[in-house]
Amino acid sequence: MHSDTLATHPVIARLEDFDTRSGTLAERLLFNNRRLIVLLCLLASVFLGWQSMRIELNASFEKMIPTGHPFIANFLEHRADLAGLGNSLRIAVEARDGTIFDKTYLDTLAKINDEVYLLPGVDRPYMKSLWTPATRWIAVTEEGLDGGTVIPDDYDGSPDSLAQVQANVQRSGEIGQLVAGNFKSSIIFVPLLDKDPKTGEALDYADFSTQLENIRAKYENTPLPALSRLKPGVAPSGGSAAADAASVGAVKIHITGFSKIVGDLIDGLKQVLWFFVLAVGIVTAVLYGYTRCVRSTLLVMGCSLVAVLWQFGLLHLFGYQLDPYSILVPFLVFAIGVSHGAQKMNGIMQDIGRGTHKVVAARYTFRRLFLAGLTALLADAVGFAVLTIIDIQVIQDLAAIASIGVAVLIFTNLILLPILLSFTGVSPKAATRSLRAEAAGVESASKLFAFFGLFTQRRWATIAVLTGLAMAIGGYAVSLKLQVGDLDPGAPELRPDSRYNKDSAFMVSNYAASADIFVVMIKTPEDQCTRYEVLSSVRDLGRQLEQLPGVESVNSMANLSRFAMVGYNEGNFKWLELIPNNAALGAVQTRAPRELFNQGCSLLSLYVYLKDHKADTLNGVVEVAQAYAQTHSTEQAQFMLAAGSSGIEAATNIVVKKAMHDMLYWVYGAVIILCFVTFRSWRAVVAAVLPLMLTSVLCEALMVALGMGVKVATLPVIALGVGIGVDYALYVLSVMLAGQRNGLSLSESYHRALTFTGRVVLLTGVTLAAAVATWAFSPIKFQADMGILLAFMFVWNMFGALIFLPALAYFLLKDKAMQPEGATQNAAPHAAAHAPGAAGGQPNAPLSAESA
Amino acid sequence: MKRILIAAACALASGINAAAEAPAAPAVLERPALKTSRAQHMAMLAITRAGARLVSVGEAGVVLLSDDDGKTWRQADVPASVSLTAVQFVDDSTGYATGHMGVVLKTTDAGAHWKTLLDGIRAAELTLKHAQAAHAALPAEADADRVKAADRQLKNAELLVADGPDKPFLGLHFSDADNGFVFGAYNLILRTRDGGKTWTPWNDRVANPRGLHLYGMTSAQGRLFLAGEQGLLLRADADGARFAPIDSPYKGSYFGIERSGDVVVAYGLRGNAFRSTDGGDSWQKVDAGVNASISGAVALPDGGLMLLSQRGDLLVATDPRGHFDLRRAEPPLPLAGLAIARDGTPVAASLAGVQRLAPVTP
Repeated sequence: MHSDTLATHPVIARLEDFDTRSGTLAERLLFNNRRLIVLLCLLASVFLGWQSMRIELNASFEKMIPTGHPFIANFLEHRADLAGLGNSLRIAVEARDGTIFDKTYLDTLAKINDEVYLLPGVDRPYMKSLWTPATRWIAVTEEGLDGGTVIPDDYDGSPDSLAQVQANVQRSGEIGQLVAGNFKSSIIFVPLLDKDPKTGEALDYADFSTQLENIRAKYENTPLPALSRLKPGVAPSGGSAAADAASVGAVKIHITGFSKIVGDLIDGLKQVLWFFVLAVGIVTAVLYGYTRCVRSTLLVMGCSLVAVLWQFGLLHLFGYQLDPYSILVPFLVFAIGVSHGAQKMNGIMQDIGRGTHKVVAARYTFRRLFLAGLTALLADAVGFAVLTIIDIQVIQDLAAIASIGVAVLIFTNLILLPILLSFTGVSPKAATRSLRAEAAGVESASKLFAFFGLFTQRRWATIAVLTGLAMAIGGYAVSLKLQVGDLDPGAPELRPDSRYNKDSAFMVSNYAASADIFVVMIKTPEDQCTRYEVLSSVRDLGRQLEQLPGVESVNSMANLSRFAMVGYNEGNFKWLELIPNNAALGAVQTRAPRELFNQGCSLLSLYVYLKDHKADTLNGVVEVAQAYAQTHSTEQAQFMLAAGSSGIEAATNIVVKKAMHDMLYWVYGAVIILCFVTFRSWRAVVAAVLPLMLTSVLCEALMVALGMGVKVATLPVIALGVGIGVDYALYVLSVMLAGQRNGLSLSESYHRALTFTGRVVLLTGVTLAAAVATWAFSPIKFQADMGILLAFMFVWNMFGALIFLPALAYFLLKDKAMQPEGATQNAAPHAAAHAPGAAGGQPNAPLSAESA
Repeated sequence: MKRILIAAACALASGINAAAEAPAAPAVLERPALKTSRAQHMAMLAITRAGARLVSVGEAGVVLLSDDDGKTWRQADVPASVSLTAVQFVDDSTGYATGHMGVVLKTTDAGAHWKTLLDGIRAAELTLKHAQAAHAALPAEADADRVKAADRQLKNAELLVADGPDKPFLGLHFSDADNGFVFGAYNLILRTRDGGKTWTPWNDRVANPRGLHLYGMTSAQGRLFLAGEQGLLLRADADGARFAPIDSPYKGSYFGIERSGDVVVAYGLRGNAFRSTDGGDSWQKVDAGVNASISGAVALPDGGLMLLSQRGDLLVATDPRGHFDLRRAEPPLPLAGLAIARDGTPVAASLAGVQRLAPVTP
């Protein structure tokens, strides 16, 4: 630990007076080869900058799911038999006037159907709409069962054949599924392949979404969304009277599904980037306002942005992509970079202000703060890296992306920045100004510092600790209500009034069978899937699930077989029962849709249609289904969870819920160990970590208040928050401890920390919070939520470091406990080792004035 | 002697068959019906009145009771969870219900509690014993046709046992608290004369050589009428001793038969309905004007009759000799049965549950 601080850093105005052999090996290596380092960094920037041009933005359905979870393993194992139960899209085509039994409508639907069919990534054999051959009707006649495609082979658009279509739809069982109950819309169901099975190429979600929007714009006859955004006054029907007017503009199109959410998010990212630019602008302005030095402001911002550039370059080099959920990470890296950069700049500025040569000033700052900065960044990197324990690839990727970014900061902001500042120096005016500020010349700052200083005294420390405790307890009580998963219908990442969520609401209100499908798989011996014992067991589980309030309905081979008995008996309703007759049940196979059972009749699918995808709903289904699977699985019928959008989501929730706590243990574990390595004092670790924990708890409570659930998208934010907070704590506490170990009282040490690193903590905390707070106005709700959470954490971690930390220090780091050993055992040898040239330990002028 | 050998061989053969194929007694026969908040929306297959109370039966052993003319419902205690197909009350408190897997239930407290009188396993055993006894009782001098008939009865009964309880009772007809028939698939029919304590297989008294399903029975003008699959139409004297064929006006299936006053109406597949005013000697087609199958009929308190279709059509006649007016049930439901509540409201049992319908004016 650098317990040698200002006291051992004499003012050296001329470079010639400075012993370049002083300092650690690292310092000498870096600062005695300054030009080489800058050159290497320049080369790295050129190369990685070139690489970063090619970074891609995409998403992947499979990366979002925990592939190691048993539910998903079951699903993936039987994937070939479960087509359409993974990633899929629903496109509702709504007739503007009249019903779907209309020539124009059906013609338009056919065209849309054909165009969607040809889109890349569509799992074509399993696509379903009124026009696909898989959509059939069954009817009972005196002769037995009759059936055919819903749109008859001889369909010609005449009133007769339209009447035929209507009759077929009514007996198809697709009302509420493919056809809305009010007959004003019908659905094109589009299963998607994450990877092209032939080429292995990943589906490009942004491109896919754009193509869908093109189809939407073409058939709705509305301007493209990009245009309509610019010209909101353009009426939808005000477009040109196209030659094909008969089929164009006759419909409205509603699209829901994971790929559309991702597409909309990626689309919205263009605006997200402007918010980043705005945030960078705000930070720059505040930094300049604080330093009044163009050079140093630009260098801090520049180095932080170079870090992001390198990060992008390295990501592409290592084969990573950015996705809508990790897009915030580069900004966080930038933010953390600014925090460290400002510390370095401030230190150098103060030394220059005292008259020290710029190179020496840079080296002093490097000595004083490199280790604290390194520890903080390592804590960040390790904290992010532990996110890889979560068995969801998108989070593992995010962990890698964040770790890489933070590691890059070690080079750009801890090394490159001081070196660059050693070349450029700072503007002299700014330097003297900063010194004045440090010497408590600025009235308002001194008042503020005096206020923070109160917390090192008994009365205020007690109040702070008790308040913190009360907040922790209250926050914890609220945080218990934190839900896992989505809490709202539709896509919570997007605004409730976004087009996607309006489309989602349309689906919910017009279609009985929701998009939230939970599938229980039932494995049986080959050709045994329709035996009575199997089907009756499936039916029993279905009935149990139907009792749950969140379950809309269930469907399975057992359900179909009950109705099939009606069908085989001329439609007489009295036959509605699963008849214990294996021959009769086996015969149903020939009429059953493939969704319900597989080719070899060894796997059944029990579909549970849910009212929503809220965590409670999913938990209820999982609980019942899992209990049933445990007690009722036999050789003949093995019940397995789970497939379908909701099955996958349930598994994700389970993993996320477990990960939420594991993650915090690991992050805090890493932070605690690194803090201990740095401070060598358990008491100091406690003082540093407890405020962070308070922030974590309050962050969870805030999520409850904001109605946010913990999910793949939001899970990392708490870990990231700890990463941000640990910087502050380390910078403040390291200076404080150094002061105490040099024999200063706690109050004096803290005051010195305030004037040195604390002021920068205050500056960055407020600045970054202000910058991310603007995100609350983002069109993407996910970004808005993240903005609020991050702003909270920036600010609260700042208070943690400036109020709770000193208050805890009052109780834990008593002067008596720290000083004797600190002064005698720790500081002395370090001082000797680090500053051999500073013979006699010439006292630092401003400091001695202060402490006198 | 030779006949006995054959019978034994058949029994053996079907016994082996039974061991290989017959499913174990389904658990639903013994499992009390699930009490569920969704009961009101489950598929209900029949509905009737027990005094002031409405009683509806349906899938999974659900029996619903309403004492406020169908506005609110509660679930009765039922010892089995098979689909219940028909229900009849002989007075305000005593009622019977039939169901799948040969289940017959009885209540003596207006539907609140039910107990099982018969199930498919016992019904099959009874039928076999009956056939064996009849076979053994054949006089030595019996002619070849009688022997052949008895052989066939025996063989069918053995198959019935071997198949397990897979056959449903589809209807019932009680003339009083003690006397009644229950009948169903493949000519399964039994009679009780003591309120369900003992049952006598009646299949050998029914002229149904093809073993067609029996769907409905009613009594009019001192006779019993039995209607079933593929135009099966039989008639017996009031004692029901023997059901003999009468000329059927239709080759398609009848789903039921109902009477109002002296008029008998047999109805069924694809909107077909036929009435007889002369005790079944002659039948006239009722111009129902619907394509959907007619699933039920209810005699109206004022002597009228209402037929209902699976698509939610109501065919109303103030006098069943006259014209039937076509109405739509509001809301339209896949109707299985209908009862008229005390307040005159038609209350439907449908695949979408029980529901009060808008009043129907003829």
